[in-house]
Amino acid sequence: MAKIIRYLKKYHVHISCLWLCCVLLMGAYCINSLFLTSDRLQHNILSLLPTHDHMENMSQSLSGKMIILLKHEDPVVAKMALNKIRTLIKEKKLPIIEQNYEFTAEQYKNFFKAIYPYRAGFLSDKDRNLLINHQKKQIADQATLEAVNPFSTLGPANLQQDPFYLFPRFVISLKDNVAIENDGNGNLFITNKEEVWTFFQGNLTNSAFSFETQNSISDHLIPLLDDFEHKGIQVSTVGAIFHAMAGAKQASKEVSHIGILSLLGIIGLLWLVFRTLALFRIVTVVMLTSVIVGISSALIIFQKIHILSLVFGSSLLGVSVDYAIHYYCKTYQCDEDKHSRDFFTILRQLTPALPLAVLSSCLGYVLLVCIPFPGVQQMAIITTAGLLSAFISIYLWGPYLVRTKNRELSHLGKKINAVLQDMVNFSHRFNFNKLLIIAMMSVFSVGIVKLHFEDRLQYFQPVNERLKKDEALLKSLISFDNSFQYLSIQHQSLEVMLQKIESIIPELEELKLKKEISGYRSITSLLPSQKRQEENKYLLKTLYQEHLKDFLNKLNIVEHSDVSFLALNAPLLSFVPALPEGWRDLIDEKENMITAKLFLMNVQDSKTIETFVGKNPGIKYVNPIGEYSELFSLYRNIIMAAIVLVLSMVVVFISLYNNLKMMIKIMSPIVLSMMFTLGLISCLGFPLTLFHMLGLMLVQCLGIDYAFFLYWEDKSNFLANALTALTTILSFGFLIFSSSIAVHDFGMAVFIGILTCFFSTTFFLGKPQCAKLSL
Amino acid sequence: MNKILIKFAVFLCGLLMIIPVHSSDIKIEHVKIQDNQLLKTTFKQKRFLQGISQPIESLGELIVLGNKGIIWNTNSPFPSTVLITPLGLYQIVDHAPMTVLKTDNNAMMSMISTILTGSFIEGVKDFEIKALPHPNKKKWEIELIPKEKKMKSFINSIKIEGAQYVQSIVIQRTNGDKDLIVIENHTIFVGKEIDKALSPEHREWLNG
Repeated sequence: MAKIIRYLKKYHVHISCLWLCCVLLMGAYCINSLFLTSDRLQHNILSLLPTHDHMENMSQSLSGKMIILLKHEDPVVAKMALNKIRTLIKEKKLPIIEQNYEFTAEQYKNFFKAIYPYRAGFLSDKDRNLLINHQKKQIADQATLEAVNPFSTLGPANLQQDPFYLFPRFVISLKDNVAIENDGNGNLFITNKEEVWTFFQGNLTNSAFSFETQNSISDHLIPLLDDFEHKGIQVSTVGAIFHAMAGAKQASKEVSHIGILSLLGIIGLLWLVFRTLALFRIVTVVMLTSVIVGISSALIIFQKIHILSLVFGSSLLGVSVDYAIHYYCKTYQCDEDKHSRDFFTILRQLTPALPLAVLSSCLGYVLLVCIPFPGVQQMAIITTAGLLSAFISIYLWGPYLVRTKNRELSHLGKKINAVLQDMVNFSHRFNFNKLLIIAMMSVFSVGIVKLHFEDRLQYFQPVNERLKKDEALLKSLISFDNSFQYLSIQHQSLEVMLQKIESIIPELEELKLKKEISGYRSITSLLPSQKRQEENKYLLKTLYQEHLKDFLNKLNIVEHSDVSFLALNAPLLSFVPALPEGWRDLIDEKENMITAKLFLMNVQDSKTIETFVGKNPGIKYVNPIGEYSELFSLYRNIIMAAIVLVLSMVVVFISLYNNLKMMIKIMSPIVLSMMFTLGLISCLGFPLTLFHMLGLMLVQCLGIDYAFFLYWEDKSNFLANALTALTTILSFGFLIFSSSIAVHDFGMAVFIGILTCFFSTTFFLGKPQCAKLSL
Repeated sequence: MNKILIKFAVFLCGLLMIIPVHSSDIKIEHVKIQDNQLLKTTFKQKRFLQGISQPIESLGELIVLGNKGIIWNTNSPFPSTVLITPLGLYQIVDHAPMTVLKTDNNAMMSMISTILTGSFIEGVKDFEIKALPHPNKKKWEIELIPKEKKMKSFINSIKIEGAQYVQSIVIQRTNGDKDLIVIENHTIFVGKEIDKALSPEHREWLNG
């Protein structure tokens, strides 16, 4: 290090200028990439996550659905509101396409027309069960009643071709939402207990998680819906887009409020302690440099960066403020010593603590590159490159930015240092440290017993009470399910695949009875296998043989139906006709391989489905939310491993650099603090999450810094550590007050961890003094 | 020439009789069942179905209690009962109503209940109403033609004939099927007579 300092001393002006040029070039590159080039900044939250084709497609198609319900005492007013929504979508070119029910109805009509000649093979599940269970008379009786009833619910009688109304019964069994009606002018409505809800259903043309989509909806559609509410129209909205917007709005509101308070707090604190603008000069330059270098490095490596990685990575670079504070505090110590007024004295005093601190932090963050989350990787690069550049800037520009002059520390600064020194003296005098170790270990021991992890994606989803109510309302009005889970079955032969699905239906029915699922949606409901069609035909034959004559006699119809009209001898349907909207997702053919999706509704426990799939080879359970939860679990484990790895590497490095005893002295407060933080979070009843771990990673990096700076100090400089701890708590620790669980968990780990690390390093590594110390 | 003019005038008058008129312009004298009245009638229904040469005939009785509901009791060719209330359409199975369909979803059903209570001029919406000439001066005939797309898809027209009460309804369906319902033996009950006229079971269904 001495050699490097000598070299720096010799060429410091040139190197400083060179570094300045580099930073300016990178700054220009950043401005060009972020502000002058349109596609370098990503806004779709899905691009933060790993690429999984099926998950992405599913998320895209399912999260794109949106429903708006409008109610007014005069239904005409609600219909007018619906038309205003349509006009707005057209005028503002919003990324929404209204679902065309008339077009879908036409598709259904064509589909039923296509399968009508094969009708003998098509039975509703209910009729099939009645026929299998020898309850044929029930079907015949219902048909007789229908034939004489003027209030026909099954459409016109067709005594020649379908005397028992089996085909209309099959058609009706497929109808999801009998509650949705059409007024004939393309306006849909739902009537419930004399209340009329006008109904809008649309699909997003862009991802619901894209900020561009969210912005266009929030700028145009939401104000219109708010206006409707002011005019007395009750508005309910359902769809992932509204959840995503509410979550983003809440998080951004909280983070900006907390951010402003933090910034004011940090400025106020530093002003009260130093009463000079000089600190702000070095802090601003170091921060700005680290952000520029961090972002441009990420842009060079990844070509594109996500807005959230940029914001979060830049926030983590707030840590670089700590280096500036340590540097600045050292300038006060120099004033005391006339011999130390050398240009590079401060840097020498900060060595090896500062380089080691930067190295350990960079090591921690660079390990995050191993996590295959593009968002985390981008953040890791921004942070690592940014911290390194902050370190370089301090070493190169520090002496120019802060001049060492005779200065008096404020009363508050002196007081903080004195109080902390007194605490250290007290702890040494009364062997307080041993008590502290016992207390921390006890909390950890209790916590470890209660420790449990939470990785479910739903746990992190912010709950918006209004949207929850709206969803409950919609579910009370129509059959609505926003399930993302399905079973995937693949085969080259359509017939084999359909038979496979039909073979597992009884087991799914059992799961339904046990309330493990609320239902399922299968292509076989619309398209039975040929084997099933053959069985249905046989059942139908027996029904006609046993009941047709009696049925016709009851109605006093003398001539008997011509059997040839009943389509019993028609061929079996062996191809997939053009499917109506809503069923197309269920079957797909690519490269001679047919894939069917069997959607499961309201799965109570994914393990039950996993067990079920385990018993049925050839079936794959796709649970995108579950898979993301598993990823969360994996990345939590990776971060835990990264924390242990960084600690181990620092342990090995210090042991080699000095000795084992010194290593134990430096590392014990850090390890104890992290154990205590884990234990306390668990004792407080919170499950441990990925975001706690990310917070602990920051705590580890900063805790090691505190230890290094205290250990390699000639005199204990508690003020610098106290200020860096306070600024970190102000920046990140206050995120504990966020209602967004992910942000809250991160803030909680940082709040507890930093406080504990600061006090434990102070008590364990602070040097006791009899006389009062001054900076 | 005069004869031609007279014939033309007669033709015009005839046209006027069937030109659509606003519902408020049609004035026919008939009894409307009030909310606190009970109407009991008998009915004969003939369903003319395409491809079946003879109609399906059924006989039974009708009970209409104001706006509370209708009991459609078929006695022949086999006994069956259907209950219609503002909440829905029910089939009576083992003396208990079983939901078949919600009222609001069956425009046809709500329309028939309006016709039966005699409120077809004011109550029937989305229909073009024509007053047709009737050879018997004491009688009247009305034709309802659906305006609404959905109703239009399965009904061509409904003809209602009556005098003091509605006497017959002819429903002409788009597929060629036709329902002829002849309603006879009208009796109106008011106040305490209603309780006597209704069986406890019927009371429970209509008030339930």
